[in-house]
Amino acid sequence: MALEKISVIRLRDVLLVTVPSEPDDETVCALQEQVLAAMARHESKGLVLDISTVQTLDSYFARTVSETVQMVSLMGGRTVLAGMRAPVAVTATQLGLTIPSALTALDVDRAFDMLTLPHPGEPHV
Amino acid sequence: MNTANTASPSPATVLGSEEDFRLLVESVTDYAIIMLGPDGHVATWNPGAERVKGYRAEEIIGKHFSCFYPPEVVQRGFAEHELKVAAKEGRFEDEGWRVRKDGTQFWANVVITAMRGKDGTLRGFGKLTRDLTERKQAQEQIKENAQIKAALKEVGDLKLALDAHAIVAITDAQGKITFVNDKFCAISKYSRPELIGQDHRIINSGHHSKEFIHDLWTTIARGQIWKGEIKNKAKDGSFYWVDTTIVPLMNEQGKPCQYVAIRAEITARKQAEDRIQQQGKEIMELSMPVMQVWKGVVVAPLIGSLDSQRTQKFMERLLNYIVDTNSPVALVDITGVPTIDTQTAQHLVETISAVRLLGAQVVLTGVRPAIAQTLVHLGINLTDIVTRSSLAAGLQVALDILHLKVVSKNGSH
Repeated sequence: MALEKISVIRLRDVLLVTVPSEPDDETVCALQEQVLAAMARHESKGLVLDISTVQTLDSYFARTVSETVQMVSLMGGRTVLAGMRAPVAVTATQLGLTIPSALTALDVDRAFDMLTLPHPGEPHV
Repeated sequence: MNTANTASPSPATVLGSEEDFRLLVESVTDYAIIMLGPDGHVATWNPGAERVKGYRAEEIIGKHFSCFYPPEVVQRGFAEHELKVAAKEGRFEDEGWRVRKDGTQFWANVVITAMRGKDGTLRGFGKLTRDLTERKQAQEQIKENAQIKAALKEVGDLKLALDAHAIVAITDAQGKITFVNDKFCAISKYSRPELIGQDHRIINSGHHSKEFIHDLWTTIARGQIWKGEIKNKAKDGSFYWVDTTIVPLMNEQGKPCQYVAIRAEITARKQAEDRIQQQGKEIMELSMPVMQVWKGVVVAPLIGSLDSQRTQKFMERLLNYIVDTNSPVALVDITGVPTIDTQTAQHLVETISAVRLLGAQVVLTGVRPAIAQTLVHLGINLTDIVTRSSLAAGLQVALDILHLKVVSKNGSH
């Protein structure tokens, strides 16, 4: 059931996953499994997690995503969290739920730029 | 006219015999005249004694006279003390409460006289008791009247003082106004006859909710004091605020029969409060503008210190604006922040991490020398954050992030 909620789309050499609006623990777990399997299958440059529909963020979600980012990194890819909503960001900061190892982008388009353009958008130039 | 024969007493009618004395004692009904044996037992009893104390002669003769005293007095040994004093000094007088046969008490004046034979031996005691209850009551009545008069004067004085200070109205249990003082008339601009007999709806401003009025009435109808601030309407349509205390006065059944409302005008304070509240809101809005200065760059100048409430508001505004304008760079300018402390710095760091979660970057600008010193001395680590001393330098960083370059029209930089 949980597996059916997740679709991992491969666009060129980047993986795109849209996280469902209310991710339960099972779904988040399945997401990690599928992402890692796809990374192994396609040898991608990176992963874009589209969280623009996510309304709430809990500690389990934050930890699992943080772990996934590290795992993807070990397999040679970079992860960008794209499109977090403003209220979610406010609550996440207040609860201390940060995902330090991930890059972030305002939307999926910018996330793709970060992963594919030669200058990945570092703040210090 | 010779009346000597009839007027001059015959020897048989000359008063002074022992029999006469006995008759005298027995004819006195206003005084109890009794004799006690040396040990205090009742020896003789006259009709006065019966009337005053309630015992008949055959019931009491031979009994100890301590039964005339309230039990607590007997316990003190007062009866014996009386006899001792009378025996020693010949006479003892006292006023105090005594007990009748039926248990009721009366205020008695008692004189006990020691009776000694020619050789000086104590033969017993004569005891004269008068019932002075009525006199005592009259005295107490006078005393009470004086107290009541003093109390009334005090109440009158207090009322004067209250009327001078407060707006006072009294209503009956149904809420009909039965009394208003001058201040009430002055503030409501109604004359006394216009108010008496009306209820307080006459000054209702319509400002308060039905629940508010309902709560007021249920509170005072339960006999509890109600306090609150009420907005009223005067006859000319102007409004005034009063700080109100309503005190229910209870009848003997414990039900409120009158309500006394004491009020003080607080219109000026209310207006000042409203102004302050409004100004507070305005300051909050004024001090947190967020604007776009370039496509993809927003600027948020901070003015004043940051508490958690303002941080929350600031964060929400900034984040929403970043999302709305799809801007990857936000310049937070702290030139207008007078001093920075650990808490303000903490709140800034929080805001910056929230912006990062969105996928945008913050450049902290306007870091003045004093602020830089404070931040270092406080040991606040901002190394993850790009900071610049001026907004212009911050804008340069923002343009770099966006891979933009400002070029002068004549070709040079």
